Amino acid sequence: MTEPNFESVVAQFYQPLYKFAFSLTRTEADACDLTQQTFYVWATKGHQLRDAAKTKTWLFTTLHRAFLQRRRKELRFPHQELIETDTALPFVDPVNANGLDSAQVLEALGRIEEHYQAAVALFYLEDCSYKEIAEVLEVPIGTVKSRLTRGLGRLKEMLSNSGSSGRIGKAQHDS
Amino acid sequence: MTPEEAKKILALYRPGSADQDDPAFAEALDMADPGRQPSRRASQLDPELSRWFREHCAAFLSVRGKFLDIQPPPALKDQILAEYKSHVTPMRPRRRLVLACVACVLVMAAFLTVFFIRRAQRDFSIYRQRVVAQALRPFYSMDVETNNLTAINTYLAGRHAPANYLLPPSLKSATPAGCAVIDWHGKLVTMLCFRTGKTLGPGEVADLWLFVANQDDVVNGPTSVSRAVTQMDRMATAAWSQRGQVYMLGIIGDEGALQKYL
Repeated sequence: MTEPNFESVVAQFYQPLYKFAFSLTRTEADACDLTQQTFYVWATKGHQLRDAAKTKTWLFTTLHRAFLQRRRKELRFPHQELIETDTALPFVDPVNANGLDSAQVLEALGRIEEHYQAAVALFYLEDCSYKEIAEVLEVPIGTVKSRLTRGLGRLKEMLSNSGSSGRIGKAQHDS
Repeated sequence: MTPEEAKKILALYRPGSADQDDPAFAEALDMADPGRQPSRRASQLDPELSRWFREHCAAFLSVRGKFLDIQPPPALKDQILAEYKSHVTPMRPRRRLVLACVACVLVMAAFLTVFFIRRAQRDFSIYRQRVVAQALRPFYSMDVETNNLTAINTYLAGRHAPANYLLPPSLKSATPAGCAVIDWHGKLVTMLCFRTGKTLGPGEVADLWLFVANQDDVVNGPTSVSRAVTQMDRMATAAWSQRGQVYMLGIIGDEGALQKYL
């Protein structure tokens, strides 16, 4: 890939990638590292991508993989695949949400189970179709929807607690 | 679809996104969104579902706004580009050089492999087997059948086969029978056929042969005029080199039969 192409890809995607990284890591330094790492991988391997329309998905997938690799180094956590969709309907009271800032919302996101976080972040952050989210997370669309249903439900609990108590509480996990 | 089922579907609906055109949401949206189909009568909408849907959209946009408030550090883009220039760019010419070197090595390896395979195929031991087999093959036809050496040499010269050979004096006691030209990996070998006077077996047209090839066309051949004798099947052979040509004399029989013509 020529340098102008690299620059145009950076210009187009560094902000959404950073936002996704920040929503996962919640620290500026880690988000910057992940974003830079993603573009480094793009610079070295991006030429292998044949369909330019897939650039966005490719970048988000790469960032998510890099995040998961870092997390696995930091701690081991059980991988849990959902098969059935939770029937609980997620709903966030807009009044509560309006009273919070980004940091509080991200803190709430950080308190929900790890494997829901990326799906929820992509749900809010980027105009990704469910198919694209599934490609980024490398899971079936059904799993994306399962994770979202549960993840959004958890986030609702967090934000509701935050709205009522002024701080974000820890969610009660379903048994 | 019941309102509860529609709620379940619309819980994952994001206003202002690609979900608007996602068929998975279409039916539920028709029940909940009054702005979706202006011609739809109000009685076809579920008022409770519509209210829930409005709140859902407002909640989504509110939370989405929090996510969109995240802003990267102003220097991030420059850092990414600087890192690309300092690390990735210098790597690329080096990588190209490495790839070019690897390609060169592979081409050379392929070339050498072919070269040595072809060279091995032109080895004298294989040459000897080949010409002996040619001579012992029954009922083979000579290109020219004559006892006139001059006619034989004229034919060989016309075919650009080795014709300026040195005939061993001892062969003058044998009778020329003719000649043939053998293809040897694209090069031509002269095959002179003689009769010693012994009774030939069925299918035999000669019992003494002299093969002449250019030295360069045979690998690992003899390099001196001293005769190297080898028994090949029922043929005794002697090979030597002289004036840039490889000679091989063969006779049906053993080394004793061959000695007379060396």
